[in-house]
Amino acid sequence: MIYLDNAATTMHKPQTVIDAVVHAMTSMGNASRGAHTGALEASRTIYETRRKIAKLFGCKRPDHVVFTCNSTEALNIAIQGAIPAKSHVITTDLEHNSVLRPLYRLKEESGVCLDFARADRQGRLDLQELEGLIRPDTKAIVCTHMSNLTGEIVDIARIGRMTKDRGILLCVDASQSAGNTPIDMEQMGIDILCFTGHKGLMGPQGTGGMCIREGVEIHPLKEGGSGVQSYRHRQPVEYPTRLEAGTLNGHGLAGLSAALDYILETGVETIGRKERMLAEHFYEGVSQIEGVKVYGCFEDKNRGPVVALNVREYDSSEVSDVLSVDYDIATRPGAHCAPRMHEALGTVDQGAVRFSFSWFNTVEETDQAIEAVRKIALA
Amino acid sequence: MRQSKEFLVITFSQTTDAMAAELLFRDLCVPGRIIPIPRQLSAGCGLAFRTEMDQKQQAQQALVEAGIRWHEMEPVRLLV
Ligand SMILES: Cc1ncc(COP(=O)(O)O)c(C=O)c1O
Repeated sequence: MIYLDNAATTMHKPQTVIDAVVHAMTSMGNASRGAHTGALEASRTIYETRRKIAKLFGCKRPDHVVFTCNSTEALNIAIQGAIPAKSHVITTDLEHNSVLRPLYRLKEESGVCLDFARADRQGRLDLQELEGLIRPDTKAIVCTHMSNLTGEIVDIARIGRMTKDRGILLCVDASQSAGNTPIDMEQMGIDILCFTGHKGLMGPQGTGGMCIREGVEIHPLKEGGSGVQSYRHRQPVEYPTRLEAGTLNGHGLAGLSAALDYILETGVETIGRKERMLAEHFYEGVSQIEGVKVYGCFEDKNRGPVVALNVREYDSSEVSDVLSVDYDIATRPGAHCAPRMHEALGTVDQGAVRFSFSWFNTVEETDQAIEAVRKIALA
Repeated sequence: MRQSKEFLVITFSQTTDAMAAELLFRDLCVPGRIIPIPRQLSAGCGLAFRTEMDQKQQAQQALVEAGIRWHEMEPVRLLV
């Protein structure tokens, strides 16, 4: 199979990740629950994983790295736990449902007022327009770093400069950019960075989390076992325990730890450069085919390794199905959990076929995908 | 243009139901396979089961007997 659905999840993981999970499943106890060898191994492994995440994202404190089962959970904790009722919040048309739905819920249930920075027909934001939406009662900006549909990158550092002196919380969804695009929380002015472990970070599914800037208060979504302060009635207030009730996915985090080693050794820039090269090569191939329409702006080379397209008036589901059944090429069709972006691009009806590239894809695979699209587009 | 053909397409409101139907149809030898949901039936994403047009009665009865909910069961022309 030629796997080009890496924006959904990366399927090819470094062998060290697989080995680490297998090892953990034969040797790990429960982290922070006791001090026997197995429990300590789990505690140490998870702490090491926190340190590596902190290093990768420029988070000052490893104890402010909180693990969750994916970025959706992290975004829910952040949005529901850090945004006050009846406040004003700004977000964008680029967002995934994991941002939109928790925000719509706050709007419905907590009287939060929501404004959207609009995307144009090419899926680009106008950050000046976004700045114009800021009001005296604006409490948070929740924004993706990279669109999962077009690969558009948002200039987070510029938004960080808008929020910094105004006391506005900046919460960033790095689900698509983590692992392929440099992120430095401090430099970019990010207060809460949410990530998922199974996409560009090349870890197992069921891993993810958030990095929290010192001083940012997040109310816990869950209360429960923590292995510390057992006689307190409520969840301990210290991060990360504050947001980590219940047993963590230690086995998965051991895999994520190995994946982070791989990424830190290889280099985010190196990985991103290769993925972008493949996506650009693909774009150049398919954009010349008659009947193929590619979405997004490709003038800016600083973009995610994602190319979304349609072939003639064909339903994107049918094209993706033909790619899978006739060519053994894995892509994703339809709506990509980003409803407002589809509205902006004009693809609500047709959906779009998304090709997304990873470090483990090759130029040959990319050429085969171009050829398959060419054949499907033949009149 | 690519050829197309009419199939019976069954949609579900969640993936769990589609998976249950796939197992059921496999056991009962109802021909067909899972496909991404065609836009004629739903804008958005999700899975559907595609079978031959003459399978309607058998498929419907099997789903009812197994208590598996489906959303729609419609003829749709699809690329082949
Ligand atoms: C931009 C974006 N945000 C959030 C998510 C949610 O990730 P997860 O399903 O791992 O929680 C995704 C992945 O689908 C995504 O692409």
